[in-house]
Amino acid sequence: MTLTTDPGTAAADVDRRRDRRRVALVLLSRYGTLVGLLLMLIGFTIQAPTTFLTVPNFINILSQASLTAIIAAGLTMTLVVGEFDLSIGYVASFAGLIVVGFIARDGVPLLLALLLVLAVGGGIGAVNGLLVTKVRINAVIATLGIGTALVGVGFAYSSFPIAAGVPVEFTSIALGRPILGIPNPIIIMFVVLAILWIILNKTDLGQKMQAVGGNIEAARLSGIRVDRVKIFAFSTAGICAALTGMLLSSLLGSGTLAAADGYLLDAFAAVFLGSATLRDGEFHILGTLIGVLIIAVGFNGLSIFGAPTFVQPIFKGAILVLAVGLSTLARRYAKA
Amino acid sequence: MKKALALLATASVAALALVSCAPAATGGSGDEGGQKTLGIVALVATDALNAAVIEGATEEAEAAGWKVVVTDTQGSPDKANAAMTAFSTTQKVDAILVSAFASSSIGAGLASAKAAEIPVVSWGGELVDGIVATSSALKVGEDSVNAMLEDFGDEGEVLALTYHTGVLCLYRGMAFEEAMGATSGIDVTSNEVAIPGQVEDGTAFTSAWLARHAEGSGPLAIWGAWDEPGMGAIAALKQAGRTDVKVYSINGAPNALQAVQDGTMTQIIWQDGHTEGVELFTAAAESIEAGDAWEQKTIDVPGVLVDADTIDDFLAEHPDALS
Repeated sequence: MTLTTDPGTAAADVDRRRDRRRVALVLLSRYGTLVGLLLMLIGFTIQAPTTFLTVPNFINILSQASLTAIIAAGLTMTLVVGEFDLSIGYVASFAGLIVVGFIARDGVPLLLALLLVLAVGGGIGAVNGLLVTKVRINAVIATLGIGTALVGVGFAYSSFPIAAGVPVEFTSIALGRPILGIPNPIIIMFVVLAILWIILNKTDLGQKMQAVGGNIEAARLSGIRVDRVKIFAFSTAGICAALTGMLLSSLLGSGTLAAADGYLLDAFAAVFLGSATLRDGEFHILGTLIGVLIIAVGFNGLSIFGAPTFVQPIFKGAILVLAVGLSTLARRYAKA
Repeated sequence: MKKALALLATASVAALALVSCAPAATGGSGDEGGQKTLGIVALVATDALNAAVIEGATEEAEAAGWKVVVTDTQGSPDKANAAMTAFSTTQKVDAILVSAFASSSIGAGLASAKAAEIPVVSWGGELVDGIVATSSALKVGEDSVNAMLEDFGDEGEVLALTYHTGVLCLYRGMAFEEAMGATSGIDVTSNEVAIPGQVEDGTAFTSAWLARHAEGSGPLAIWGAWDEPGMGAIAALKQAGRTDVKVYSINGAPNALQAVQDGTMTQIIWQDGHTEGVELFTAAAESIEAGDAWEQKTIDVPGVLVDADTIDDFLAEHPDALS
């Protein structure tokens, strides 16, 4: 018996297999992190159904995620335009310190103090943007320099935590639950994310930001004022960082130097995790939220199990490398 | 541009060569006016307790006619060694105060100081060769855990927020672990917080721990190796609306004392950093006077227990503690 193969059919089979592989890889690169989040949720629920899968615990997770999500959303804006902002943690710490100082020490009315500090955050962001666009300093250096200088300025303002005379109206901002028992930070988080999502996806400015991040020269040639767009992105990051710092101080009931410094790395981890979600390596607000949730759910679940502390940073690092690495590899092979 | 870089590189090499050819300095006033200088190497100058120690040492030194120079290392042993070497060789200070570094991590700095015959005092570090005086970090940890056990009892669940990288918290943690090891009725969950991120971690670990320990599930407590993770824990308790968990901490920063006052912090061992700073500078100055006759010593400034019963008296005695 002699078997013969039609060369045309064989080639078509190869093409079909290649297409199927390409589709699978594209799906993996876009939805791998979501699947990971889902698997974590299922796994933790099976392991600890009475503690993990409860409404109070999910509110806790969202509460924990809320401040990181706000600061990370601001960071997303700078990454969208192709820049970095390493000052956000320091801006948040500084804002948290001075807002309490303004209210408790200097007697500034609450609303005015909040607006002033948001303006300070935006102003610091604008300075970052000006240094990057007008002075042409590398964003990493400029924002690191500004952030480090802020530590000194904060230290000069108050080397000790400010706690005396903090009014209950201020602490109520973070501790209040006026809508359906949901903590305010969660509501504020969704409002901020919605605003930034609309700006990025539904406005002309958002289109320009994405154009600048995608191809700066093409954007410049098409008449987009690149510098202005970048300064706006940095200012937004500064405002979000200031808001995060104020919420943290409201939660703590005091202004403490360096209290929010740790948000920098968490924000970066979340944003890069988000870039490997739903889109092909692009930074976007929804992805950032998913990235924040992955980290928060993992942290919460591992803590509930009483996993040794060393597991936490290993998990955080591994999930970041795995998600972004898989996404990158999948995209590369999908194009091959 | 290339020429500028080349010039810069040449200048840098020349400067390094000059520094390396400079004769070794010995301890003594760098100032021509003969004013003595205290060099302070701070772990994190922005931390409230570090700041109190620095403030105490600075005030005492300036009252004695000394000048004070502070280097903030932001927790880096490498920077601490570099700062001590600079103090010993180029700045020629008369004494060095090292704040909150393990003595084992500043070997190079200690060697430089020893070669220049500059006395080194350490806040919380081990009493090794080259250090003339140190303050005990273990004592405060023992005070804290003993007071906690007296208040909390010997049964229940405790979340410990530890930090083994910093020498003070390392000793406090050792005291805590030893006491807990001898108390079979207490189940301890230990979580190591990170710096930066100590407040955030305190909040996150506490939230998760609360999920595992429902309200009314038994005696519950949180022990913070210092105030900041403790304050993070309090934030998580407020978020969760939980009032059934006791919180214990060490240091006594203004915000933590405020928390004792408003009832969210159960108990603090207030560490008198200002007095420790004064005592450490005094020891450094005395060691210079005594010369070879000086004997190494450990300074014990006892912690002060502050809780709901004692907070008013404490604040009357230390009116500046909240500011």
